Amino acid sequence: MANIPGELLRNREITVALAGNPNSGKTSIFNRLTGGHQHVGNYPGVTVEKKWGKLRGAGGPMQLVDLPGTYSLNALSDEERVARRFLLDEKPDVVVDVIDSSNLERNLHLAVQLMELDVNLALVLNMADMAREQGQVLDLQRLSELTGAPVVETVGHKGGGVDELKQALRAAAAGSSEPRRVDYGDDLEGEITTLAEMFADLEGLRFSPRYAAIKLLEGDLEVTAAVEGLHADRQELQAHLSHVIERITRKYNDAPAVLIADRRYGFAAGIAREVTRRPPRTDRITESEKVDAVLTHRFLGLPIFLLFMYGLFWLTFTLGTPLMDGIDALFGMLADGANAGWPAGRAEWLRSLIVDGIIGGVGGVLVFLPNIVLLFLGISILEDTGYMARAAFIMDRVMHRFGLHGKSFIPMLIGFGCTVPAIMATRALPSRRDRIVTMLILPFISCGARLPIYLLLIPAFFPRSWHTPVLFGLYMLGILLGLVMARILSASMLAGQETPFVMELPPYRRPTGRSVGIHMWQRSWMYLRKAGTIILVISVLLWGLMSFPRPAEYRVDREAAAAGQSLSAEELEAARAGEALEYSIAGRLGRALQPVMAPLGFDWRINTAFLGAFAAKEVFVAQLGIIFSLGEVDEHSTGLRDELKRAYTPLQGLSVLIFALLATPCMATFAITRRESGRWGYALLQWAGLTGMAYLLALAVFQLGSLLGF
Amino acid sequence: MAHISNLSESLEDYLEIILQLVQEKGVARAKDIAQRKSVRMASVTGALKRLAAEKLIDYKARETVSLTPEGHELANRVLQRHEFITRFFTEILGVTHTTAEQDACSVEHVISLETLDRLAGFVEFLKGCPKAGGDIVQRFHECYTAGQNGDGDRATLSCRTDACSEGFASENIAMFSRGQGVVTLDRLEPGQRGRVVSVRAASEIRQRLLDLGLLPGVELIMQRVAPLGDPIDIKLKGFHLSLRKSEAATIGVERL
Repeated sequence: MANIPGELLRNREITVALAGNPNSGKTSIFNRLTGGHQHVGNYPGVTVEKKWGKLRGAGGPMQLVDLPGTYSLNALSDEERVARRFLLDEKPDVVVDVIDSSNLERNLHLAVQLMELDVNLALVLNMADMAREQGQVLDLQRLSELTGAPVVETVGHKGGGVDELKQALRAAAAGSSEPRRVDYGDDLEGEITTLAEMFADLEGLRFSPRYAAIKLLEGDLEVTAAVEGLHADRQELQAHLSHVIERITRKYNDAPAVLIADRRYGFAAGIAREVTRRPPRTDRITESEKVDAVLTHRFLGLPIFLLFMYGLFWLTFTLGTPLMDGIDALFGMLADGANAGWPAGRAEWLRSLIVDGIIGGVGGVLVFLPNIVLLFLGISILEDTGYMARAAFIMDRVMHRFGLHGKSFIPMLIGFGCTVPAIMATRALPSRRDRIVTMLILPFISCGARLPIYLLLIPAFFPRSWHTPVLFGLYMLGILLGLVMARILSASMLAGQETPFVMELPPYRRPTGRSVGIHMWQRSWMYLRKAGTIILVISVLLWGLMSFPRPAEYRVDREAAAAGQSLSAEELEAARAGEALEYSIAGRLGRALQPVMAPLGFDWRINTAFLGAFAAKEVFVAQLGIIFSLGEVDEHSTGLRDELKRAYTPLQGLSVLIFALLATPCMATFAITRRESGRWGYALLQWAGLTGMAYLLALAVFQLGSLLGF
Repeated sequence: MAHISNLSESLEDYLEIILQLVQEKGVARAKDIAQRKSVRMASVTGALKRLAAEKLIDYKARETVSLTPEGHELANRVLQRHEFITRFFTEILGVTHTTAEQDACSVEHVISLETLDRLAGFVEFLKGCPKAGGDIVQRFHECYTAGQNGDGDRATLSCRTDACSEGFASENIAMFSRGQGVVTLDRLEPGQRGRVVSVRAASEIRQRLLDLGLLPGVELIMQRVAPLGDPIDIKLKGFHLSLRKSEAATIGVERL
């Protein structure tokens, strides 16, 4: 523990790490301390979110880092590994452990592990008000003596005690007093001392010899590897260690790891007992339990859950649609403005690039922003109240049957809005295996962008009474195939040890506008940033494919001249656009694909439109409009529907619908899958798997249908 | 002489093995049972038929074996008894693990409930004593060594005066001395209370449960079962935890 004179410290920026159990109110303390000034990123190599921010005022300048919420530092999960690595490598000046006062013993278990890391610890007893309401009285002075750390009481979401905390942080940076040490019992202590002596003069050890000794006995992989890398005689060390572990196991009929954990937990329990003047009344039924008696009720639980989900979609789509139209209109105005202001006849390709490529491409993605923001608002509220944990609790039975985890349900829900944030939401899953499986099957869930395709095609090919069943059937087909694929993936290439479903059900809390707002904004920002970067680039690329090469002259002009007909300027423009697309690389690709796609009942026009759908699914509709020379169209265009009805049979329509449901996840999905899984392989597998399945299914439908005479 | 069951010792062994397999692998197959007991398949089939006739297991040829509620209860008692005796031999008497296992296998079938009860009471007595500033079992081992050196009488005496210990798990004792059954956590009915007596999950899950405070000795309430019947919600130490029944089945609890 570095003891730096107070004067020097006062103006130096200190680093403060925030540790704590999940649901301890850590995030609200972090939000309180940093205000809105925070940054979000990832820890290197893993998709664990890293949040940091600066704060000034009482106590001088500080850099605050929010560590992932963990129950321990055993390095069993990514979160735990990240938290421990940060503490060991970055050596923050102060580590604040945020403790849920009403859950003292379990929270102190983490504090004890922090004490063993020899950090400058400060304890925050959060939610002090709730604990007091339950009748709990604590001796903070005693707690400070036993842990050697300053102790501050706070009421996280109301901001009470925050100034006091800032002061305490500065004081803690100057060095804490010596904490009480866990006593592992004579036998183990003897072994720990022997091992620690062996490491006493190891150069470059990032932690104390005692800590290394304890962790080696616990069989901690990371610490073992680090120590073995430094130790002169690795084999001797391994032999000694396995001898000790065997002796202890033989004697106590339990591995040292278990004995150590028992002792450590006992130590935390001991502190909790010693500082509790009056225990909380735990037997009383809390408000939260009364709520749970209804929301997770044997019979009512499921209907209520479905009602909430319905409400979420209702909120998203009913409130989102007018806003969406607004944004759409805004981009329309922007495009019109650019068109109008452009000097006629000069650098026509540049105008087309800006209007069709950039404004059209980015606008096509941003148009979903209201939906996404609203969906995230709803999800943030469900999360902050604690209901999401119940949703996972209710759905785990179904999810588990298909090789998924109860928490996989949340990304799937988001997937109805947009696959991109859904894939980001897989971060909440406890294991990498679950994360990957969930991520891979998410494109099976029909996202909001696929709806315009369905809305255009279904009325074109099916009688009115069939509309709803076909639409519903497509959604269900996607969900069903997704679940089946999850089952197959988790039993084959992603087979592995099943993740346990051990999850705390935190008490319900009233969400605060501030934390919901921050939550919602951070997620929406990730989506926005994507629109600004990768989607921009690919939009321009696709625009190029669809615009070049350009025909030197247009058939329609010649024909019109020959026939002496006069077409209106609009008709002429639309016809030319159709020809230009046919002549472009995309059009040629569409033709080149014809031998492959013909067995599905597709012609070059549909092929070309699907090329556009890789940029964003809803581009399919606009592309068809251009090809059929109808100018600007949307899913409500009856003109386009009539054209389609003339050009294709209902069987071809169904084949196209199935292909649209499954094929080629959009480029944003591809990019985010690559980033969140960390491998191109998974993104490619997802892309190829879905496209292959779409092909086979559409092929089967079209060929069988043809045979049956449809 | 009262015994736990009126089954033959071999059948009790079979029950015990089935329970162990179910807890470790999730299912018990006749093949695995044969392997573990080092007997031929034919003997296993015979034994399974007899257990099925006693309505202790559900068994049809070429299928996995499952315990009926009664069979589960009984198997648990047999297993707990085996473990209690093994731990008594190793932890209190200081017998080596291998010997203790072998002896326990023989003793468990012949020991009377009365003796077992006394043995449990004795351990409870050791545990219940006020702290005497040392590990009594350790001392006992020490004076036992002293006794071998030819100073037998004094060694025995010093052991009697300081008869205090902690560290021997209370679970098995309570079960025998109070005559109440130990069941796995998934078998508690909503609203029932229990005290954790053992956690047998694989090491990683076990560590997870331990981190959350699910340790032997902890009292809990089975709060509810999820609407679709799988994860359960338990309350311990003032907070709620959900876990799947398959995980709960690795946790032994004593009904309170």
